[in-house]
Amino acid sequence: MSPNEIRKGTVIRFDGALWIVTEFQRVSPGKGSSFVRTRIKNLTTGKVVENNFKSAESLDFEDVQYKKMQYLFNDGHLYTFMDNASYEQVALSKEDIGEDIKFLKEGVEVMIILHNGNPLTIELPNKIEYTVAETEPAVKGNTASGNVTKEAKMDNGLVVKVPIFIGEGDQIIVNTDSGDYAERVSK
Amino acid sequence: MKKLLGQGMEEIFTLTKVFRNNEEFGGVHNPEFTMLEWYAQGADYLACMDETEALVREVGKAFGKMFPAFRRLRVRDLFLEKVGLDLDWATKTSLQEACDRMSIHTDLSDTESDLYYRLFLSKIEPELGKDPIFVYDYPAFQAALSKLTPDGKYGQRFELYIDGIELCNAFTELTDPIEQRKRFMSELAERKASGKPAYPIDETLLRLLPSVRQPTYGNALGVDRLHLVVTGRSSIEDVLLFPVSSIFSL
Repeated sequence: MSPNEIRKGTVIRFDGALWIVTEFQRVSPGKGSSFVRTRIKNLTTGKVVENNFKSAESLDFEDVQYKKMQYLFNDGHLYTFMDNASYEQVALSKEDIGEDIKFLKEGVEVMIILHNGNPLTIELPNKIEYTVAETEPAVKGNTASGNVTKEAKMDNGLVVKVPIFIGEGDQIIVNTDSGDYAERVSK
Repeated sequence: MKKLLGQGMEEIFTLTKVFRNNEEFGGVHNPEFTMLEWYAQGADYLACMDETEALVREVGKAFGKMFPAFRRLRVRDLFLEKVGLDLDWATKTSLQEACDRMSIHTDLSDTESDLYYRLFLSKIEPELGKDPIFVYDYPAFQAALSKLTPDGKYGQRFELYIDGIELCNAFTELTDPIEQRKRFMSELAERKASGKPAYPIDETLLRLLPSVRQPTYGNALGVDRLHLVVTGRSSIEDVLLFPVSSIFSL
């Protein structure tokens, strides 16, 4: 397969190991071949590296399956997800999930990535809705710096920079790619 | 636009929407974006650097953003410092050796240009820092439309990076129709080889080129990216009314 087919969540066999693509970006030097810049995570060791593949290279893609499951709970180490149709459950460790762990909250639906039936990791939806649990009230006139945001803690403990008009109890949508505030949910 | 230069226009610009398909979006990319392009006859890429710096500073001022000094670094000096390789004498073998030494993944099909770009992507671009920096004099194999430096080894091309974001791509335009035809031909062959669509050679352009004065510079600057930089935002979606991610559900 060509590296051009790489997407987020693509699993490749490279350097004798399985890697999942967590980020990718096509880049082109202005002249000559284009490249795909990737951030890939080793599925055995969890090590994350950056690698650049030329579009004309040939790369081994591994067949993986995606299954929609709902996050239920964790016991501090294992995180349990359930398929709402079949009630089948799978458990993943903190390390399997990696960075995305801070976005998890009970009830959220994610894609579980399976290889030969074994769960490897999760893929989050692009946007998740949270309730603001804690934040400072807006300080009037504090807009001189042009930086009109403040920190807010979500109902699952996630900390996000939000505009000053957001108050406790508000529902907001967070972009899981960047970890940034996206919008307020209108009531 | 180069044809207009050949027809006698001295200084021209366009500010329009342009489209790039087949790139991913989010971050600093959107398939539809705004590009400012301008050309001036009788001035070279160094004059264009001065102008670009003045433009970016002026736009910054309007947004209350002051920039530190704009540094200017040759690609060759960056390679000497970060890779320990002298591009003056670089060969496919020495570029391959540098990739191996720095554990950079390479492929058997790599050309000199590919190896160079792997090094640039892994060791140069991520190290450019946040302050404005003009990177200039790209290896000749990386400059299809630019005039070469007097030693013939580099193209008179520059890019401006701020916050690690590439803002523009400029060069002293190549005005020699024979050299231009040669480069069109080799580019065409390369595009065919890598499976990209091949476009016919622009004969009108080649006919008009001799009427373009020397030197002439041209610059293309991404306006939305400039907007990002002067407002301190990080995603192009924050400065577009209708980013592609809001138009299509993806």
